[in-house]
Amino acid sequence: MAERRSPDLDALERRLTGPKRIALFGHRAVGKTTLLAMFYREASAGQIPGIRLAAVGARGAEYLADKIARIEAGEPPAGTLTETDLELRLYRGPAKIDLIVKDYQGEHVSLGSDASILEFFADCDAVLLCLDSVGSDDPADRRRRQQEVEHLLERYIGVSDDTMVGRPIALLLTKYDRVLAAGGPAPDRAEEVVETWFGMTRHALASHAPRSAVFAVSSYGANAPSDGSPPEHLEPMGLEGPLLWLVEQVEATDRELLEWIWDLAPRDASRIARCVKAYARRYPNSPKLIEYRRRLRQLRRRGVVRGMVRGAAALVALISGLAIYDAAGFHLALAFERGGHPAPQVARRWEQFLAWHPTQPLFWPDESRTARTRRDEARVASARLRAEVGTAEPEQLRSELAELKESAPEKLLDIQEAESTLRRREAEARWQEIRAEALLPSRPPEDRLVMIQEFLREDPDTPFAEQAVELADLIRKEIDDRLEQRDREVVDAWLVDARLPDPDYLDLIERARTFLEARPDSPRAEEVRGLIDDWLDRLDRRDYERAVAFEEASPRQGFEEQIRRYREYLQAHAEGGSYIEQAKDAISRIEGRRDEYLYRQAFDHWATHPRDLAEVSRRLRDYLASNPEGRYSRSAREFLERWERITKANEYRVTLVRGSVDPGVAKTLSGGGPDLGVVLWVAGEKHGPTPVIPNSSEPVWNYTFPRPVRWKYGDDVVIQLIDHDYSDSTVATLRSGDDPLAMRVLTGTVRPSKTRGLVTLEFESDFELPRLPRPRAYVDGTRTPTGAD
Amino acid sequence: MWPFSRPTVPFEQAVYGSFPFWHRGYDLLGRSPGCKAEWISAMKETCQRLGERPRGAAPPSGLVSRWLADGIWMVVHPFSPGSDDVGRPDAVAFHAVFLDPGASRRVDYLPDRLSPAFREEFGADDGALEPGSITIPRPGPDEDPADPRADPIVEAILHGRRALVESDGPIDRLAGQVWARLPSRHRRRRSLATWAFADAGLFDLIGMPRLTGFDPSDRRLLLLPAKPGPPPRRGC
Repeated sequence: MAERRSPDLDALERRLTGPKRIALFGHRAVGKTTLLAMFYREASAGQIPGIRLAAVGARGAEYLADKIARIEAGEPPAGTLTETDLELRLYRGPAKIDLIVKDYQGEHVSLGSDASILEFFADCDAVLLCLDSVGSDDPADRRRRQQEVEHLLERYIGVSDDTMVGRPIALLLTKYDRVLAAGGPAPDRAEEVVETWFGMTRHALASHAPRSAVFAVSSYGANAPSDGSPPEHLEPMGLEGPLLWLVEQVEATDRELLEWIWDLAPRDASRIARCVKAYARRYPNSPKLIEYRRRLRQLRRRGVVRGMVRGAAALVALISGLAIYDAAGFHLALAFERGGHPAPQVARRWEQFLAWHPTQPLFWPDESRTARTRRDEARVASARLRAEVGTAEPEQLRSELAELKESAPEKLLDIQEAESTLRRREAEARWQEIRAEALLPSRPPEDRLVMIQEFLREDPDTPFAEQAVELADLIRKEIDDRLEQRDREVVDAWLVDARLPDPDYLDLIERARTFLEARPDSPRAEEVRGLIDDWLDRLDRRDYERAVAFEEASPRQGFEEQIRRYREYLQAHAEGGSYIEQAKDAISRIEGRRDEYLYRQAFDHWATHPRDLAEVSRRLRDYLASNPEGRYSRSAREFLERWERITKANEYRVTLVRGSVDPGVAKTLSGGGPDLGVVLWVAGEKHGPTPVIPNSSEPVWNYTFPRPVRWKYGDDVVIQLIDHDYSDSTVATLRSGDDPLAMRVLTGTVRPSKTRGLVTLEFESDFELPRLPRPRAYVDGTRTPTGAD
Repeated sequence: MWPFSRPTVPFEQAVYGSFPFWHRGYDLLGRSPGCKAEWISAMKETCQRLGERPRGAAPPSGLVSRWLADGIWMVVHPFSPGSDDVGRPDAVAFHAVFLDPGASRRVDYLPDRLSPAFREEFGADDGALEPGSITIPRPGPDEDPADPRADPIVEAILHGRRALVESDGPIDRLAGQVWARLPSRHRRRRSLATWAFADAGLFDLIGMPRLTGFDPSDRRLLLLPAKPGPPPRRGC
């Protein structure tokens, strides 16, 4: 189990695993910026054996590059104005240490300053104290510089538990080339300079910083000019010492931190593992790493064993607790049952006990069986009780009893008794419901009757069967009364409708027939049948009278509509109509009148316009279309046949029988009479001349033209009577003119109009004019036909 | 003729820096009696965040404008007095003027109007400075051609972004055009450094010698390099 986290442990872990914060402490113009730049220049270029320094951040690299460029150009770096974070990485062999160093204004470390850089110093991992090895000749100035160091050390001591500063501190004597130039001690004897000039600092470090060191360094080297500017050739001195010391001290500090964490949290394996991992990443080849890993494995192993022991103990405790819990629960449930509680409560208690003690069968199998038996007994008793008092939902109780049959078959008799009770209670409840419904009906009696029937069907042995039958009879009677009442209302409504003017008998009859189909046994069925017969009679008479009335009221020529009315009657009353014969007679009568009327239309036109045979034919066709079997249909067809014949060119035999010429009209030059002959022109074709009968004014020819005359309706006919006495001269000429029936002049006697009746010719031919017989007046029994022509 | 009298604007002032005539390094040379300690702290913090001059860059100059918490408007003019007392070059000094809200309004929140208030000649006897005042010059015709970078910078600042402009020297002229186009309610809140060597995130518009170490995809920044590169390619 992990140790409880404390802020100190977290801070220690952060210090161990995070980048190392290095404080470069020194007053202004002591050479901090130059020293940093030269550290980077030398260590990054391999000038310090075994050490490599790299700039991680881009800004830091740019900052250092700019400073180095100035130094190499012979310009001293300017006094630092802005605090700059430098992220560096220090390598020594496989060891890799991330460093954070800050360059800043040296003025900020003056006594009394509260600059933010002091907060960085307070939390740093190692300190490089920079003191100008020559510095000022003024002792007060030197003391002031050492007091600044003293102030820093006091802050470290103030936050430590003992009087130690708690971190490595190196004193760097900068610009040592000037000491050497003045004949001072060699760098390996720099402590003599410290003793001479910085005794206060040396004493403080000796007293409170066991991990301190003194280094003499010079960024520019021995040939640096005295004005502080960089020499042409840089020969830095003593830079490797602080870096190597720093690597060693940082590693030593990490080891101390790790040991410290191990001491503070010896069982916090996860934290120690993280720290060891960080240490291994930083110092992969450290010999201490093997020991740390071994110790970590031991720690983990011990942790596993400890965990297993604890787990086993917890398991035993858990099992024991469960056993006790189950036993106690069983006895409490038993005590509850013996306490005389009602069966449902006892059943619930046993149910709860079994639900909350699933492990009881493992620890106490006999008691578990007892508990289940008791539960089943209590459930059966509870079911019986609930069935008896009716406090349970029947379906739920029924399913519960079915389940109990399977789980507790030894209680079958009790369960069946409970079921019987349940059925009885249900029947009672049902019967009460039906009775209540019968007494205070809210549903139709048919539904109530069905309800009773279902009740009897479901439970034929019910003790309420007799009462149910009685109740069903009552409901049936109620239904009959309601039906009779409804029948009465229906029939009365029909009678009301029938008494209205012009009632719709068809609808009434339909409704009545529907009623009889639905209610054939209705007490009013006979009455309804009588009504139907009466309405049928009335409807028959009304329809016939309507047809007759229409015939009388409509125009005489409305034959079709009059016939249609009678036919509608016949169609509607085809079966059993009382006026069928009358209707048929009426139709015959109307058809006769129509026959006579249409024929008379044609005949009258023929009589008044004998030449307009086309119109006569059209009217005859109309007549035949309406009366194909009419009285005049034969005459009409004959007329039409003749009409058809004369409208086509046909040949006719023409015979000139005789003639008569007044002597004053003809010549009498030789023989005492004219010598007459006749020439015919039919349709422009000449026929004749006939033989000449000499010296006779009443010649008899009996001459048949040898060539038949070819004529059709509209062709003209010209008859020319020629006197051949002495010379041929025309006695008379007859022209048919615009008579379309010119052919008729060749049948019968012809009197040319210009001869004023002095000349006659008699012809015979097989041409016959179409003729129509005069219509006879139509007489029927009901109506007086209008007079015949 | 200008029909109105020119306003006179009073201010407090302070000088901070490293000078050859003393051995104190960077320190406050002097201040007027009305300067509060928190103004001096803010001035020092602002000056120390302007960065170290890289080799080859133009010396400190231009104007720095910031609004302090109590509504005081601080305008700083950095300059270099030469080497410090130990002969190190590139010492930097800062002359700051502090204007109360009323005086700031009379200047119309335009820092370049305060240019006549600044001076660079200071001596060891300037430890005690008097409160100053300047008469705002008449607005003259704007003879500078419009800088095409001004509009995008104004747009960026109005949308809360910061503009970083790469330049060979102070961007006073560009900053003047930008500030003139900003609504006064924005001029009253936005900060400016026409020439700085590091971006500490304090300024809405800053002129710098190099734009290195910035993420071009940072939507909070508008980076305007001296030689604009090709436009970013559209993603396929």
